Amino acid sequence: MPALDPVIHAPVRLRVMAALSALSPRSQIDFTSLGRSLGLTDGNLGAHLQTLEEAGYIKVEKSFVNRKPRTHLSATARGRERFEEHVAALRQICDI
Amino acid sequence: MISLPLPAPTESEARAALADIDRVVERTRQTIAYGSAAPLMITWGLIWLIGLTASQFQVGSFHFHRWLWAVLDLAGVGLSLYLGVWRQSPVKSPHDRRIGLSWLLLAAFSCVWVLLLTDWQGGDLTGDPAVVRRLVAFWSTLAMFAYMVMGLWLGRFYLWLGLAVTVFTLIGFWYLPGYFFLWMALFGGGSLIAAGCYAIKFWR
Repeated sequence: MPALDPVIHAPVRLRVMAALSALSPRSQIDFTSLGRSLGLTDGNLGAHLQTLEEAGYIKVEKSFVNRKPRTHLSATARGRERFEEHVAALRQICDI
Repeated sequence: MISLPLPAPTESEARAALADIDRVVERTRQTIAYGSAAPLMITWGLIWLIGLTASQFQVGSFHFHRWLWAVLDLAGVGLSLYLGVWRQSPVKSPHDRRIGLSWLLLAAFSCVWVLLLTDWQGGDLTGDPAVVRRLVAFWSTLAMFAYMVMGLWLGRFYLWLGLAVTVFTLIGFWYLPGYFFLWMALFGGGSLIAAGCYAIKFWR
C-alpha cells in the first residue's frame, strides 16, 4: 500500500520533486531555471533543496561555466521511487 | 530528517496537490523541449532575415552573396556551438549531443543532395535566380522537416512551427516568385525569431 512521504509532502518540495522527476534519468536542470519555473526565490528554493538532498532524494552538482558557478539538480533513483509512491498515495485518497 | 506524524490530506487537498504536480510536470517538459532551443531559433531566424533580405535587394554582386552566406552560416554554426556547448542550456540531457549531431548530419547530407540534384558546375549555379529560389525553398523545407520530426518526439510546438513555415515557403515559391526572398526573410526568419522569443518568455 503506497504511503505519503513526510519529506515530499511539503508543497514546495512536492513541486521540486515533480519537476525533477519529469526529467529523464541522467538529465539535470539548472538551479536558476528551476527556481524561475516554480516561481521561487533562491533562498526559499535552496532551503528545500537542502532537505531533499539530506534525505537522498536529489543530487546537487556544482560546477563552473565560463568562470561562473552553476548548480545542476537531478532526482536520485530513491527520490523518484519515493515521489511515485507519494503520488500513488495521493491518487488513492482521491480514488483515482 | 522530518519525523513528525503526517496528517492525512483531505480528498480536495489531494486533488489540488495532484493538479499542481501535473502543472509543474507540463511546465518542466516545455522547458526541456523549447527553453534550450529558443536562443538557437532566434540565431537562425536572424541569419535568415539578414541573408534573405540582402538576397532580395541584390546588395552587391554574386560573389558578395556567396561570401555573405558563407559568413552567416559559419556565424550560425559558431553561435549554435557556443549556445549549445559552452553556455549550456537550462536542462542538461544525455540526448543533447545526439540532437546536435543529428542536425550536423542533416546539414552534411543536404549539401550532398544539393550537389547531386543541381548538377553543380563550379560557381555558375547560384547566378540563376530561379535556381537560387529552389535552393532556398529546399533548405527551408528541409530544416522545417527536421523541426516537424523533432515535434513528434519533443513537443507539438515544433510540429506546428515546421508546418507553418513549410506552408509559407510553398505559398511564396509558387505565388510570389519576385518577392520570394523577402517573403522568406519575413515569414521564415521572422517565424523562427517569434517562436524563439515566445519560448524564452514562457518556457525557459
